[in-house]
Amino acid sequence: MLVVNGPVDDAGHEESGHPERPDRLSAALAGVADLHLGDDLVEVEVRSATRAQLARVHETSYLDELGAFCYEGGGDIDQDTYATFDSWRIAQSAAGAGLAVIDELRRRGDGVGFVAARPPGHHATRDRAMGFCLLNNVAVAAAELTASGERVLIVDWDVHHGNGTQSIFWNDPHVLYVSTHQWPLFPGSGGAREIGGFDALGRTINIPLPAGATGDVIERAYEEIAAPVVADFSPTWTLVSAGFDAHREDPMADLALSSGDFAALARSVARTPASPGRLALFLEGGYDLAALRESVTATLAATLGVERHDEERTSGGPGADEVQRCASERAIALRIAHESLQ
Amino acid sequence: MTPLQTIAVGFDGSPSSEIAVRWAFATASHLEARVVLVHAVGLLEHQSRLDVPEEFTAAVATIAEELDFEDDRISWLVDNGDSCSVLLRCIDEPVSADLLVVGSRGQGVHAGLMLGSTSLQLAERSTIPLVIVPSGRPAS
Amino acid sequence: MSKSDADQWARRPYPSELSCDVVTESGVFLHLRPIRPDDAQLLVRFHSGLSSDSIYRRYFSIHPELSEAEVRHLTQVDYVDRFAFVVEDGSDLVGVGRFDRIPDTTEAEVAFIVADRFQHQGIGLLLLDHLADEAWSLGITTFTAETQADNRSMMGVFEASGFPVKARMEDEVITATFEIRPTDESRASRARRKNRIQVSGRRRGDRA
Repeated sequence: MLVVNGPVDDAGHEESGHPERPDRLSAALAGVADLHLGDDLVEVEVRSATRAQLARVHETSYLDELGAFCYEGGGDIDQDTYATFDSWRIAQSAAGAGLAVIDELRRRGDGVGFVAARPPGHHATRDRAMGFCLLNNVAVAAAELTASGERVLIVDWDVHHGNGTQSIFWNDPHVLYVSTHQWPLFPGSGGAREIGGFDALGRTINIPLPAGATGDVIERAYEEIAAPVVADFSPTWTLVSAGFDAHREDPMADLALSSGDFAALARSVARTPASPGRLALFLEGGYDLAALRESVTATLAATLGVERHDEERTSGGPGADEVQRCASERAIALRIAHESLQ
Repeated sequence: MTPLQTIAVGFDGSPSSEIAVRWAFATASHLEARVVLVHAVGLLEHQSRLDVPEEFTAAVATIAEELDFEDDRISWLVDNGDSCSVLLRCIDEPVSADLLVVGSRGQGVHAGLMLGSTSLQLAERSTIPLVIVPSGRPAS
Repeated sequence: MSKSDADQWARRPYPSELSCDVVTESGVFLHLRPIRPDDAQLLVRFHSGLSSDSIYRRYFSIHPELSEAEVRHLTQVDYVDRFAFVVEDGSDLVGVGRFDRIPDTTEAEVAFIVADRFQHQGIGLLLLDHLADEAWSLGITTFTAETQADNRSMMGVFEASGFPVKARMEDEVITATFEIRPTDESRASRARRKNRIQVSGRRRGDRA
């Protein structure tokens, strides 16, 4: 069973010519519809995230400034990120959508969640909007979960490093953050040596990949570098920052994944949480509408165990060396950190 | 105190960053320091190769010529990320900046807001001296 | 209406010339006019018909009934420093808007409230237009309003007015401030709202 948030009226969050646009959400929802789940699709009503829920993750001064900025009519916050009069409401709804999906999963104790919302969130830090993101949806959800004692794994397979999510949980040992991303690429962070703060050493895993990397490289990276740490961490919940801009057709980056590769990643990730009904995927990036739609279908089908004909999995691209280097860089960083704690 | 040898100045093609570059060149002349022009490549602008946009090199060359600032004391750093983060990276190797210089956002609706303000965010986070070069005469 | 009722608190004659008929975005004919002291009963009835949500937004608290003192305060305006317009649908009030000058300043607090069934039809904006025109002619330059951070309706009215809104948010309260000087934007905004035709009475329209 798939739990999805009900419709959010996101039409007001757009800027002429900007690729982070309402059509993306339509494409993602079309991808869900393509699953033809019938009664196996559950829609939950969305409520806006409250200030208290947002304040677990964002500075209240940032929330106030962002809200006031929108109420003044919005505009460009930086070279990448815009907000309109409606964006404050829409962003709060997007964060609330994640919370609603998780609430429903908790209630049912079964199913997989998909948070179909925008704007994306993983670049938003405690006090900054950037990279198209205003509020960090996945972080708000993770913080809600850790507040009730859960151990949360966040897998971020968006093609850009989730600097916001990483910084928010940098010193939080209850969240294990795993990111695969193209490097060098915006936002420029996410090196292998970034392993977490002193209270959470090793609880951040970064796997930077070169342009052209294919699905086999990512899969191997996840199995070899992340999986052992995940097993050890033993998460009670798994959240996925599911960006689909690592797809070969995506104009924002240069990785070469197919929908079948996302499906394979999803299968790996779906094995992680200890109990059913503890997996939720959050839409992040993905700017080619056809690729986004197809990848959403493939990914969710894989998590639900639904058979389908995905795009063929890819292999043969660069990245094997980088993955190996990443493993040793990580080990070095861990050793240095532990030594300095003696 | 170590001599001020390297000034890193943020440049994004905007009028306020041109003003910052002018100040950086003038100051570097006095101090016999070198200037590193820093351009942050955002998400939308992404490039696989981090090249300096041609119109940027032209604009800066014009300013350098006007101020008679030597070419060989000018270099560029182009990196992925938001302006604030990229400038902060200049504090470390290989740039090892001694001073950061940025333009202000200029007057306007958002004056005083942290939101989207590189200069204010740098003021909070920089560990080396920072100069914010204002854009023009303050409104009376 | 007995002239003496309004005279008692008014600092100018009751400005009946500011009354007019208006049409909402959905084609309903309403009547807009300055408030009068003898609107007390109408106001009480209007208030009791409001949803608790609307009341909360207006008064920042659950405020089930207006006290007599409150009703007097709201209806006994002086038409110079304190002004209110009402919008009537036949014999019922459907909206009230007011400004109260902050003493010794050219700034006034503005507030309005519209009956639930008439919300989102442009009445708030209509009230704001008329209040801004009148305030400007009385030497007031700036409106300010405080409301809950999620009161998008009120903020939407300000945004749609074309006036340059400055907003500050703190602890879930928004303070909006804007100059009510007629601008190109505010005139353009009114021009776009041609469907709100004033079919009788003096049209405020453009001012220098």
